[in-house]
Amino acid sequence: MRSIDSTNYKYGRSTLSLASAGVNKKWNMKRDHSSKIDTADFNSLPIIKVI
Amino acid sequence: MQWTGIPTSIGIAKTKTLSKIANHIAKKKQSGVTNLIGIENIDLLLEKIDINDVWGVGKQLTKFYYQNGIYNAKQLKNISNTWIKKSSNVLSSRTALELRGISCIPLETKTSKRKSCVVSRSFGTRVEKFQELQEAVASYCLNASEKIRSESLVAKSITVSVRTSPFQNRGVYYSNSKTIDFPIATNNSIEIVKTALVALNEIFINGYRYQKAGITLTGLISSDGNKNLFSSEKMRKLKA
Repeated sequence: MRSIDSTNYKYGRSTLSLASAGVNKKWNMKRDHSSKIDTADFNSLPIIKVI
Repeated sequence: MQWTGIPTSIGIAKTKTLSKIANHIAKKKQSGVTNLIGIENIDLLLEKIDINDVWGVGKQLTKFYYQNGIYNAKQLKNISNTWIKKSSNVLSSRTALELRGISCIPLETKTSKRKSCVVSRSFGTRVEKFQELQEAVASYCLNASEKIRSESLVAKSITVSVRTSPFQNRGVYYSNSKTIDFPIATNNSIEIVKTALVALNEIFINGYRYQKAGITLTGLISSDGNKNLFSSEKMRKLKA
């Protein structure tokens, strides 16, 4: 268990998981209107424009 | 706190109850800080504090104190301790003692450990298939067991619950839950998932459009010093 936790900590959540938890999680919560993750996701970094 | 826009006020005093009063005063001041330590005549300040603004005095006690002619903190401070104990209870007398600067309510320096851990989500779409429900419950179990492992806890039992939407027009509302005790308290993902799926199997009824599922790990205790006669070599290996 400890190795699973440390792997997931290092390489991101659900890197190691159980197959019974499913792969294509159709039922997953809708997050269409969630706020941006400004501090932990590269894709939602704010863009600064210099004019 | 300066840039967050959250108003902050600080009250400093000898006892918890007094510092709540100091904080109450601080809220209305520009600086936001009030120190009651070293102030000679505290009674002048306490006189201005309504009895129902005192920490530990709620709706019922306020009513009671009003009936007995106590309207502010100063009056409560100066009333006889035996009278309070007799006519109310020991907690009220503690409040009064605290107003006098005698600390009766100790600081809680350690945060108490959690007693249960819940993971539950509403689905993005309605779920009808047993397999999808299994996947969801398994995912929640992984999430919860990881969480309790990170806090070095083990769970004694697990509750699985499912329900349909209470607002839907077609179909009848169904909600059910099932609790299973672990033979040995555990935080092992695989064991927790297995047990959860057994529980889910018992409460799943085909034909409903499920909207939400969740799991609760209860009876959480510290995992160290958790020696058991029956914990086998295999279990020890899984822990590593």
